[in-house]
Amino acid sequence: MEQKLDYNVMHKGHVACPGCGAVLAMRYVMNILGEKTVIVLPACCWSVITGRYPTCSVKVPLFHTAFETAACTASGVRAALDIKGDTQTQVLAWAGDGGTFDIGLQALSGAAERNDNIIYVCYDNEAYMNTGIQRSSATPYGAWTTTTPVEHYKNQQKKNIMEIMAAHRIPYAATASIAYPEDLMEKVARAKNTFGMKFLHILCPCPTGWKYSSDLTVELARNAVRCRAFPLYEIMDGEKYRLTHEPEDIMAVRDYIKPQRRFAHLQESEIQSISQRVDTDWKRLMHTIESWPA
Amino acid sequence: MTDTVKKLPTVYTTRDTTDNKTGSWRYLRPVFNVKTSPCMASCPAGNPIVDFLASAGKGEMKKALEALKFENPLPAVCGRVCPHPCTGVCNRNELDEPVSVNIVERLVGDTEIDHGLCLPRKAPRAGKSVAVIGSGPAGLTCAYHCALLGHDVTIFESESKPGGLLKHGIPDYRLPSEILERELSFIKELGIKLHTDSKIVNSDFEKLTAKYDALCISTGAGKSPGSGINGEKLDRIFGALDFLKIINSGKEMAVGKNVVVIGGGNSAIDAARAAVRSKGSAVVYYRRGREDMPAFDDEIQEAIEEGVRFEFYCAPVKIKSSQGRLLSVVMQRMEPGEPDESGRARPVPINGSEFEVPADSLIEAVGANPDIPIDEINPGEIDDWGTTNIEKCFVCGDAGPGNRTVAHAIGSGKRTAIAIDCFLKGADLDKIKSRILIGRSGAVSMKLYRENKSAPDPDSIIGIENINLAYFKKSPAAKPHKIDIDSRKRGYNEINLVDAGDAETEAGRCFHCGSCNECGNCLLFCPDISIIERAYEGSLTPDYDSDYCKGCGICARECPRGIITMVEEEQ
Amino acid sequence: MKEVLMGDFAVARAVQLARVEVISAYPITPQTLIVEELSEICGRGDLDAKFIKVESEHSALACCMGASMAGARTFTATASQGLLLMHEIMHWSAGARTPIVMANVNRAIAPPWNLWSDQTDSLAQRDTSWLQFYCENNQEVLDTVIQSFKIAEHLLLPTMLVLDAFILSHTSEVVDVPDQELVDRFLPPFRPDIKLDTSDPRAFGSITGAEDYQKLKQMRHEDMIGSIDYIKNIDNEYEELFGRNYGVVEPYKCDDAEIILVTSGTLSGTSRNAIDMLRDSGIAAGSLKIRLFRPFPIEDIIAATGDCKKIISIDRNMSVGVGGIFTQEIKAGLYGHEYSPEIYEVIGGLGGGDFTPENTAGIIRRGLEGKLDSSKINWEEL
Repeated sequence: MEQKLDYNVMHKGHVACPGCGAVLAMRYVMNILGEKTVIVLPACCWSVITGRYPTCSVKVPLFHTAFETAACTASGVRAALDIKGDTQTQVLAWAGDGGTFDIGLQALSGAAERNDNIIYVCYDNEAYMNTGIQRSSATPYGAWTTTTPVEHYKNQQKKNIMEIMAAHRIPYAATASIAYPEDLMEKVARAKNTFGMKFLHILCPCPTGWKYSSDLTVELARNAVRCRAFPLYEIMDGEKYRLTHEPEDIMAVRDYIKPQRRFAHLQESEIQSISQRVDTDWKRLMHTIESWPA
Repeated sequence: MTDTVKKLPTVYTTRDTTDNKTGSWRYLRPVFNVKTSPCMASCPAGNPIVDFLASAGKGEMKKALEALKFENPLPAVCGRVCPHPCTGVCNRNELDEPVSVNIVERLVGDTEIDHGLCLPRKAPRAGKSVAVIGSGPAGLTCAYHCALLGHDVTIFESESKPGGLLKHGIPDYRLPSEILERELSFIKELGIKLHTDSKIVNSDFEKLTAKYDALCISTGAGKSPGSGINGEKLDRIFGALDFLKIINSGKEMAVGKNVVVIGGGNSAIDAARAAVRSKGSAVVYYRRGREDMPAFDDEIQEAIEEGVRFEFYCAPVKIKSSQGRLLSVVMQRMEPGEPDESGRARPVPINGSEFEVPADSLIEAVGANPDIPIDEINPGEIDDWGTTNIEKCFVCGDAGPGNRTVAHAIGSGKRTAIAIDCFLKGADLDKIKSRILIGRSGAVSMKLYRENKSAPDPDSIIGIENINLAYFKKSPAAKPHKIDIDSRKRGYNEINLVDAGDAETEAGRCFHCGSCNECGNCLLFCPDISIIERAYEGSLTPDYDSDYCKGCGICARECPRGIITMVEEEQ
Repeated sequence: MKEVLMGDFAVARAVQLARVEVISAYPITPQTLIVEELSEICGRGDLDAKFIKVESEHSALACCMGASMAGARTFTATASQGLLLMHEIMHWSAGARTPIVMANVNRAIAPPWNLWSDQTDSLAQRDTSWLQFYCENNQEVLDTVIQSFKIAEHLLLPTMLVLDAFILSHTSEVVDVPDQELVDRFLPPFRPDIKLDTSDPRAFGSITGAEDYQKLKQMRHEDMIGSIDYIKNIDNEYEELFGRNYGVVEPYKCDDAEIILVTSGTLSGTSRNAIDMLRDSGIAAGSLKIRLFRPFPIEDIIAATGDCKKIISIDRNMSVGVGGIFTQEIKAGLYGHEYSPEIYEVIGGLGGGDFTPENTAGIIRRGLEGKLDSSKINWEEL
């Protein structure tokens, strides 16, 4: 098969929801990082996906840590490996959007500022899915969650985590999508070969929390890129930008939103304003890329 | 120090999760089924289009050729003269332009120039003999497959060279004779006996039936229905097929200045274009409209480019001559009337609309009738598979019913070869038919027949709604380029040229509708590691792991070519 | 070799001698000297360790936990608010059985701001499954750091040693700094059997049901309770090499005492002076220092107090709504025991109030004179 993964990090029998995008993200990332990797896992969907004690669905060592400590725990693991002379083993902090954009941001900032030699992946399903779909600062404008009911849907923009990471001048930061595994894996390979703090922001649609039919996971991830709501790009040293995938046929934001029932309550005017916001953000990104090319 | 503190605290995991059979969560399951592509369903010859495009797309031209030749002895011919209905139904139409299947077929066929004649493996000798009467595309195909199926084949050809219509009816600018000759070398290679200049007549019937175990009559439709024009027998009045036969024999023809061609089929167009090449000025008169013409669009277009003029809704009524020399043809205007059985408007003469056109030559291309030399065969009892009212006699190609294109003749020859094989081996053809039919057009697969496999459900034809267009990028189709117009008018060099380098890229544009090309998407996008590769008769075919598949449906959604469908799980 | 060291420096020297591999800490008064001195030591190359200067105490402890899980000897230090911020990870690191050693400089908790001594910060961590040692002087601080690594790494439980703000942290004392060679003989390198190891991949801390959860907690408890003898053995082993031991409790003139003063930390030294003063005036008083708070050595306390009928327990800490935390622990430990002395609960010195031999002797006198009330808290204003 053409697109076979060389290294399958997972055992069958994990307990992710059917159609889980976060599992795909892990499989692609680990295909590049390989078995010489230690995973640090804060509270997130993946805390459950790994399986119930004493079983584990991943084939590499993994430490479950507290919600806000993915980055700093990973820094500690890195330090221990380094002091013992093991500079080959990769340390992967694997956190959800809540553990990254919200509660884990301080520790992430600390590790980024110190330029600790870890790979931090935020698999972003745009809400606290594990606890039952509560809003996070990664939840997009307009979305329903259990803490932003339709009468008071989320009326704040999604936090721009990439700009936050860029501001730390870390050697490598990139967005990636499970619908573009090749692009994703290239970025992981780049991260693996870069010393210092690496940050990957991977959009992982969630059928449970976004309220769509589970077969659409990859399609929605792709459509997010196609409608420019989730551009694929990378930032080197916080100042060299590169778009890694230019969408060919631009899709309407409306068509991306439509199958997601978390947006079902939105009026046409609200969809329009989301669409305008996407356009503005895209223009802004293009301007940055032109001003600060890689 | 107590024993308690020596124990290691067991907060770490010791087993994997494979005991957890998540398959029990599933209420939908994926079904992996090869389905029929619209091109294959439309191909009268039953070409393995998806297969040979898959190989060609990977640059494996020999493999592509082998796949083609398993079904069709004449790919280089077919790729040139077939009106390629496959492109009309190609799902790629919805993205950009259809795949130029004919160009790839032609190029794959032409690779025999490089690596020599390619023939499928022959079945063991069966000890039965088959006589094939007529060596046009249908007879050749029937002879080819009968020989491959292990029978001793003898061809009787009335002309001095084999090829039938291919040889005599299609001018070189469409089908260069060396191409045909190259492909016909299978006759010798397969040990087929060829008797040329051997016209079979009714009186030969008993002798033949006594000598051969089966007879295939593939004598084409060369019998002229007779002129509808009131007039005397004059020089320079030709039937189109006779005219083309002279042209194809390489003889110079003096057609004079004004050439009047009557008819709307390919023979009419070919005759008009040949007349242009004989320095005549040709006008085609057709009794119906442009849209009703049975000739291929490309051909009409090329004829116009070469200066052939067309007059529609005209029919000849009378010939005028002087001293045995044709002077003119009197035409009558027609108008469209009520639709006839073909669905086209019946042409109705307009009284008083007669007009006269000067004519130095008149070529009548008004159709031809099946020409079966054996009187005992009842044409009304010939079926799609060539069986007739006489047990050991079979009829295929234009001599039988059905459409008259080269591709149809090849398809018919193949079906008849299978019917003959079943007859000779005592197999029940009726039981086999449904197994080997591709779609509903009547085309059959020799591969399925010989390898004893079954075709996909003939109604499961992949439509655009089954294709995931996200996996295909727009790219222009390969197109033939034509030699310059002056050279065209002057001679018989092949007009449409194609670049050998186009084969791979053009084949690479194929969606492989309904056929797994091992793209790996299902493996890649399965969150539950539940796609398993199952070695299936030489190729890998995916299946799902029932123990763990949660039935999310991503594999079905992300299959670019519609092989996977989700069905409700039985309780 | 004898050196004059402040308590914070004694900690830093001990960390150096213990050949710690990963240090992660965040500055907070009055612990700051520890991180500063360790930065110097690491910077000079006297200790080959990774010192990760994190952005918070929470991250400091999480960082140590990660390093410890990967098999490194780890150390952190904090005080007061910093320790409180670590609280979540104190539970986590103990549950993960990471043998981190931490020095906590006892300091009062805000508001109002107060930088001086108060044990409530560390005692508020009593349910986190960390071992706790309360040190009396800078020598004990240094020795306890070294002992703590051996104990923690044997039990696979994190261990905290506590020193009083300023009274020890910023006070210079003569400290016998042992030879590296001897320390190495006492403390072998940390080589855990099970750790984050790509050649033996396992997940640590996966979700469990109630049955496993409780079993694991029970095991942790039994490991800790059962460790008291081990701690004593280690103390004896330490004495053989270094000539010093401390015990889990340290009685002073308790055998014939009419009244015993129970204390912890620096107050223990002060109280021994007070006992000497009282003994000189013919009063049969004794004192008992509690060095080990977790696990709580109630049997050792009972054994040390003999059948003394009056006990005064002084707490420089409190659980508001109940009282002094040491006192509560002693009372709870004695419940149902046939030995049932009168216990006077004294709370004083919160936020840095200074116990002297004189005012401490005064408390004992009042206890003998019946001026302390055993039914309520006796607030001592210093």
